[in-house]
Amino acid sequence: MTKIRIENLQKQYGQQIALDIDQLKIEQGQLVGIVGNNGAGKTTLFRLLLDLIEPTKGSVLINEKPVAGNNHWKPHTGSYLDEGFLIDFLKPEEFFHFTGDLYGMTPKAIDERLELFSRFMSDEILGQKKYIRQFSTGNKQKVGIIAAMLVQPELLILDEPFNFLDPTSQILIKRMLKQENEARHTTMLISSHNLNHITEICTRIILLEKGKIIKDLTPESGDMKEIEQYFSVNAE
Amino acid sequence: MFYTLLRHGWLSFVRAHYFERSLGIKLLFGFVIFISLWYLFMIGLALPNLLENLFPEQYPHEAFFSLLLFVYGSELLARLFFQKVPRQRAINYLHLPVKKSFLARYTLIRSWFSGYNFFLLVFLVPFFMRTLYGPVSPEAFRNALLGCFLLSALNHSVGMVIKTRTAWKPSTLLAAGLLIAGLILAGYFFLEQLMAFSGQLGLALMKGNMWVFAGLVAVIGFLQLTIVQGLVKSFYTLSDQSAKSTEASLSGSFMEKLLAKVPVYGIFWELEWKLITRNKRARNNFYQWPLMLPILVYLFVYSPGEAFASMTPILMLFLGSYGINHLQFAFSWESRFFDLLATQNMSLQLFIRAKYFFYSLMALLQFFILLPFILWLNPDVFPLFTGLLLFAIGPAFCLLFFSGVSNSTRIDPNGKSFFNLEGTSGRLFISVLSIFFTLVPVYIVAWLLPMETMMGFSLAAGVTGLLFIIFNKQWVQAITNRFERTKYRNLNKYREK
Repeated sequence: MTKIRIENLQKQYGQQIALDIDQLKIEQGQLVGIVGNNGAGKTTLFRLLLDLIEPTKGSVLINEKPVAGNNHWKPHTGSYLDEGFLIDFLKPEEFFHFTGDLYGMTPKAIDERLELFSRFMSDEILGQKKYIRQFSTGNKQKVGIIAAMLVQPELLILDEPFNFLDPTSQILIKRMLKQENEARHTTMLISSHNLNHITEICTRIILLEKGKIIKDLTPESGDMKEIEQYFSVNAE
Repeated sequence: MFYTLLRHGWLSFVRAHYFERSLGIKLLFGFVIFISLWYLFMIGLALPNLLENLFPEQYPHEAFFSLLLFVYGSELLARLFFQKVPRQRAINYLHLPVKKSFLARYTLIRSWFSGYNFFLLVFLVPFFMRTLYGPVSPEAFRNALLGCFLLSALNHSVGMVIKTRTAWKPSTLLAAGLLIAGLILAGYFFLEQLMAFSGQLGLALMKGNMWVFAGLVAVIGFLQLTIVQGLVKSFYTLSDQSAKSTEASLSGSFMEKLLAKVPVYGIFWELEWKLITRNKRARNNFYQWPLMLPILVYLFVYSPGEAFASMTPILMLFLGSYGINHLQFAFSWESRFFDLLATQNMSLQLFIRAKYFFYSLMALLQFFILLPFILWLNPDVFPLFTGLLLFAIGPAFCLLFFSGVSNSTRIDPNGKSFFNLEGTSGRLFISVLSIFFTLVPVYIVAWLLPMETMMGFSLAAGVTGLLFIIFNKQWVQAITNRFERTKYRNLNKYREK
């Protein structure tokens, strides 16, 4: 079943084309890694998927229904792109309950679900008597990721989730994403600059350059060397 | 390096996003400064005549000198509340190979350019020109001006010493409180002696008494050295983010729990309450508002007839309470996390309605608290107050939400509360002004109604307000649609830091 369909999608800022994708289909349950250098269009793609910016032309469909100007996708979608997805004057507990409540979860269900993230939070998030704005960048990142995953979405979109996290947390988040994907068949889109993480967990990797998809690969096909080669050539 | 830092300071001012993007705010800013300085200048020109009438047995400059301590006491008080230490500007350079002592000296010298050090000169120059330059001597004019400038410098130094202290111990605070209370009491019981001393000081400055000048310069010099030391220490606190975490000990308050229990709107009301109580700018606005209200109501209760025509817009503003003050920035308060709200499983219409009901409820609560006093003091004004209250939470709130959709400025609700231009724009100024003009048709209807004008006005305002309250679902839906249409532009602007 097709979860996301993109058709002739283009986003232009003045004369500059930030994103230009002719066709893209993402099937239910795929764990897709989006890679590319800075300015490749990863965040622009995510913002278009979440109807946060208006496409210059083309459309994004989730469950075969257009995203722009509609709300049908919201009950099934969890996302965390940056600190604009956090309410920084709330404590993490309050933020999780606010988000969970919007998705119709009971306080008990929210607390139970939070327990699954206890190792990831490593006693640094809950019960701290601090507002989110007072947390370190890494812990803010954790709060955002947990809030997005808390509601058990069918579609999860995370922009650079490994950034600012300590090595243990990076391993834990990879494990959680993989488990969630396998257990609930959650469709996931994850961007990262860390190729190792992406190749380790993703079932499909899309390489963006200057807004265009230039590679669409699967780790099983053994094409990962192509991606490594792409980045090393660009570095030279 | 010093020039570079000064240039950065200037650039941070003119490139602030609210300032850069709005020509209206620049014009408004310039106009307000011009008008304020013009008033000061005119007061300086007119005061000699006023003082001659009030104190015919004294020369105007002598009368002014006897008030010198009070003038500069008030100036010091204003500085303590409003003047900023430009310390925050140094934080970006702390990790660079620049000595902390250099940054401290830069911060101190930067603070000398504060408008607080010069604004009184706009008043003093014309005043002394008229009272000293010709009538006494040009030397007396120069000495008095220099002396008064030194008094400003002394106030500046005292203010900076107080403000650069990173933490005040409770015992120090208690001592400071007792000292201020003592000074106020001394002012009350020894007013004549204080005025006499103040007069002597002014005359000594005017005559160029070297001891007084030397004493002032010595004290200022000593305090400036203390400030540099205090600033160097305060940089460590600035770097240490954990020092800011004290406010977070608030646990779920009774109010939060109560609001959370409200069906449907509770989740948003709780969020709104947290927004206004946990963020500096929003909180200070919230707590200042009720303090001003009783004074205004008192004035209106005693003089409704005289104040009726000209003051009803202001009364409406106050009866709309914190809602009008807060809703002028409507959606900008949430600008830092609107990306989140836009992607959550929630109805924007419900969110706006929850906001509307929240502020309407607050205005009603405030009104009911005041009601016994109004009825006790002057029951005749009850219809006017009720009519204006309904008008405030009807058309005025509606207009604020409507214009709020066009205000796509990002606001930090935890930013400073005084003289914070963030979120303001020429368009906002016009939209707030237009609230007053919504009363014009009400005046016309009141004039046409076959009853006494104030009663007609109360009735027309009340009925209009009620209609807007009854049909809130419809206009909120219209505002929601409008917001949806401009969503991309607004979200884009909200992201601009």
